[in-house]
Amino acid sequence: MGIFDWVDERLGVKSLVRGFLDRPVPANVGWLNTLGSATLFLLLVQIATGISLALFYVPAADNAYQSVQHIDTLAFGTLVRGVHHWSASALVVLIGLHTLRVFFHAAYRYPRELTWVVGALLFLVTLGFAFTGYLLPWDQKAYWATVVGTNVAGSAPFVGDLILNLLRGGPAMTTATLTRFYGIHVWVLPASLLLLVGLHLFMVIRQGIAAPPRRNATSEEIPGETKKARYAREYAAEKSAGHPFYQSLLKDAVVAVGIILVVAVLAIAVGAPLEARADPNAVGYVPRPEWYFLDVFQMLWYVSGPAEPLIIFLAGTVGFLVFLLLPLFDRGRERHPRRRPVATLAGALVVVAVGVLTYQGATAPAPVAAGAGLTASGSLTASQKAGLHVFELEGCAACHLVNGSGGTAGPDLTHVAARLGSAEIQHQILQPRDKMPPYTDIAPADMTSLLDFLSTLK
Amino acid sequence: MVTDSPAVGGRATRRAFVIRALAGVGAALAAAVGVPIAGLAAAPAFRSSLRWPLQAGSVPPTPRATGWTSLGPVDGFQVGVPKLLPVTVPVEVQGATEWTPIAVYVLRPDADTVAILDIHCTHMGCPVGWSQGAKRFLCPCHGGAFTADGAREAGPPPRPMDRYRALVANQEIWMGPLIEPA
Repeated sequence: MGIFDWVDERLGVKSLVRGFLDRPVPANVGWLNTLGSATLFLLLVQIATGISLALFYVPAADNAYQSVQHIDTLAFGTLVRGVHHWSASALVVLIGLHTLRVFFHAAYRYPRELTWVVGALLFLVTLGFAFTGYLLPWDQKAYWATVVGTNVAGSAPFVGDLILNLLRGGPAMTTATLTRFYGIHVWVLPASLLLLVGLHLFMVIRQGIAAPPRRNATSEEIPGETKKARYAREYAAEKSAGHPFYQSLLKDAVVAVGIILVVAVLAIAVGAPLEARADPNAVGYVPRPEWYFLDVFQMLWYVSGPAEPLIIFLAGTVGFLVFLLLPLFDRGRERHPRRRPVATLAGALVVVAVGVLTYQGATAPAPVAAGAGLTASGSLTASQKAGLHVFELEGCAACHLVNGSGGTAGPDLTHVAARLGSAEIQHQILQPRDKMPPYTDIAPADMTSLLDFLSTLK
Repeated sequence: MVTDSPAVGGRATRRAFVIRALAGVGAALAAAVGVPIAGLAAAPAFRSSLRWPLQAGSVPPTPRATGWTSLGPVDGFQVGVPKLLPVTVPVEVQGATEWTPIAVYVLRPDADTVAILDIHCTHMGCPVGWSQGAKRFLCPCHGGAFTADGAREAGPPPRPMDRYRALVANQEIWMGPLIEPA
């Protein structure tokens, strides 16, 4: 008698496992349905690599950075840290794709509304992991992105102060902040994660995988049939035309192998980045968040004025509530994307908006430190050269791009002379519209050379 | 055989009562354990002086120093030119006093006045740089600009640069606590 039979005789698990592997799943369940299992796979990778890293990491500002540097010197240290870093990014991508798949397939319709709600909470938990995780190395990027991130959260109406104090462990960014983020990252969020993943999987297994939507109804409507009865009849038909679950698992396995290969290659080839140790006094450092928060960072460019905190807060909470409770709003019968054009279009718009903001945030040139040199193209006259000097001295490049270098707060001046005449440019310098401070202290001779220089930008 | 199904009158009431009692005991236990746990986790929120404003602003991330620190002789600071000064101050963090390096801008608008500014932009907390050419503080994040004495000039910052208490005694500049933004 083999060991498995011996165990089975006592626990009777064989039939359970067999039932799990052989249960029918609907026809057409294919590659798009591997996104959920790929997300789960990455969560497990994160738990395993995270536990390993936690054995060496010191959650205090004095030693955190050195302990991360130390991990990189150990056998497999860079690999494990690299996998944890890149899997985090992959996880954000995959949970996003999984969510989009469920959205565009309207797989959250009866009876799977609660599966979506739990999934939306898991999305939030994942972003929480991402936000708390990248402070831990206590490098420049971590420190400054957390300063900005906690300030964004802290500017919420009424509860802003409360949230900021809860996140930072006080008003300031100190070692208390790091300890809190560590506690949240390795205890609070994993506990929530395990609970929610357990619930999510229970629901998926209990209800079965939703059949991919068909453009045309598979059966005639029977007059007087209830929603419940019709769903049961159609789902049974889908399953009887389907295949056993283990065949789907094969696709899941292929995707998991592909993902771990990509992540491992990135971990080995690129490694986990580590900037200089956090320096709270680094004047000149330009804070930039990880790519998955660039959209929020970039949004701060577009919303400003006294209503900024309110708009950011409303966009965040209302957006999340709509996302969380989507199945309660969207209760129609049609599930195929082409049969629900409004929802499909709205979803596509959100994807495009997030994509554009992220792209803009990622490609925004780092503002040039005030006074930094511009490389002049072509030959300039003496007056134009003097004007370039004034341009540099006055710190114009802090806000304005010229030939791809400079800030983006103000308009790109690379072709300013093609748009505006000298008089108009001068007016704009002396009496600018809202965002730009008036530069009335430029001496008349300097102003003439400056305008001379700007007139070369065509 | 006596069954324990809800269909059997008296037994059903008894069963429902026991289950409800169990739920009650469970909830009481959860509250007894949960309140102090959540309370401890939220302790920093109780300790600070919380406001409930409709529009909260950014909060300077600088560690809050206690007491007064000398920044050196007043003659070491040129009138009209803000100076970025690293300074080590005593800070109480989690029950211990630590000497923590911070940086401030020291200004002397004229021979008789001294002001000490926090280096963080009041928009979202990025470190602002002094531009000697533009005679302005410029923020690298979202284009905030402040005048030479820290007043809000352009861009998204909602208020002037934050200040520390400052005084001159015996020809030395002394830095006090951060003046918390209102």
